[in-house]
Amino acid sequence: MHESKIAEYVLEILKETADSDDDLRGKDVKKITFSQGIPPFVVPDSFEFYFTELIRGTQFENAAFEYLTDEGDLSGGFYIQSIETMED
Amino acid sequence: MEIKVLRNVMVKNNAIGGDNRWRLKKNNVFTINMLSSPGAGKTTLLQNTIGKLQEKYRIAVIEGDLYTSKDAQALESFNIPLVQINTEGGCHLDARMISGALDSINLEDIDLLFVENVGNLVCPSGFDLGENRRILIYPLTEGDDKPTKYATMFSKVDLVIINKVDIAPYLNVSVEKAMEEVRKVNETCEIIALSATKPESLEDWFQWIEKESVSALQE
Ligand SMILES: Nc1nc2c(ncn2[C@@H]2O[C@H](COP(=O)(O)OP(=O)(O)OP(=O)(O)O)[C@@H](O)[C@H]2O)c(=O)[nH]1
Ligand SMILES: [Mg+2]
Repeated sequence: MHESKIAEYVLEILKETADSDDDLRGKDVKKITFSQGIPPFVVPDSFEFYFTELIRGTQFENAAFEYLTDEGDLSGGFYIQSIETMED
Repeated sequence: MEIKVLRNVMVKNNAIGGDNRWRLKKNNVFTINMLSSPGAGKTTLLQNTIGKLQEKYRIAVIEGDLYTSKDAQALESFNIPLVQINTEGGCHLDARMISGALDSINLEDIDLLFVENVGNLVCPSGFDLGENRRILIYPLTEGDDKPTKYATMFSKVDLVIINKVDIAPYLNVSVEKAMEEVRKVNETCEIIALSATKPESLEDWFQWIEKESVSALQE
């Protein structure tokens, strides 16, 4: 359930990142890669349920999502690792 | 083209939690975030704690609840600053909600702030609210194997209160076993066993508040 809040935070950070990066501003995003430790803090299905709704109509709308597991991370955090844009 | 972001999403919450902590410290308010599963005894413990400590500390409470204000109503007779937050189904309080609640409390007039979180043994552990101490109310009615099953929550608190010890004989569990299980996932927290319904069993808890309120405000 906390995934709804996490989805809002993710979009805020993505927007900040995109607005401050010339290579990203306004470009369609192909893929977003997340990572988290063990035990996972975010359930991907639940996260995407909220997130796909939030990104409708934005440059992130058609992005695919990848989730990496970092077994050494015990912080309980959820990280945005990278964003990949469509080829020009 | 790939662009590295490398940001923990929880910074969005934790930055506001940090602001809250600063505001509270500036006003010398000692803040306790109370976590537990539903029905563990948080409100009962608050009732018997406020009644006893009200002469010594100026107390305020933030009540987190899904939809109702039942817990806030249960504390109304104490005539203390009381803020109800309804999460509208959300499974945890977050720092932004607390920040809004702090706006409506006159912090200069408060020494001790209790935050009763939403009953949930998983989600709230990830959200820093700006508290000084996190405590977990763990009633024996849940069985003595919960610390290892919900290790994340148990490992992230400063104090575990083992509650409802008065009915241990009926539950086929032991206080000692429950304490051992807590130790397996958290080597440093303090552990206090009590019955929230029995005021005479709360002395260690009151002493913990006194001790920690002094040390927390010096940190
Ligand atoms: N026997 C016994 N019952 C207790 C004790 N502490 C709480 N209870 C009972 O447990 C029930 C739930 O207590 P609450 O104080 O409402 O629990 P809570 O954690 O505030 O519940 P939520 O806010 O709904 O998550 C009530 O019926 C209390 O009377 C205790 O030490 N012993
Ligand atoms: Mg309650």
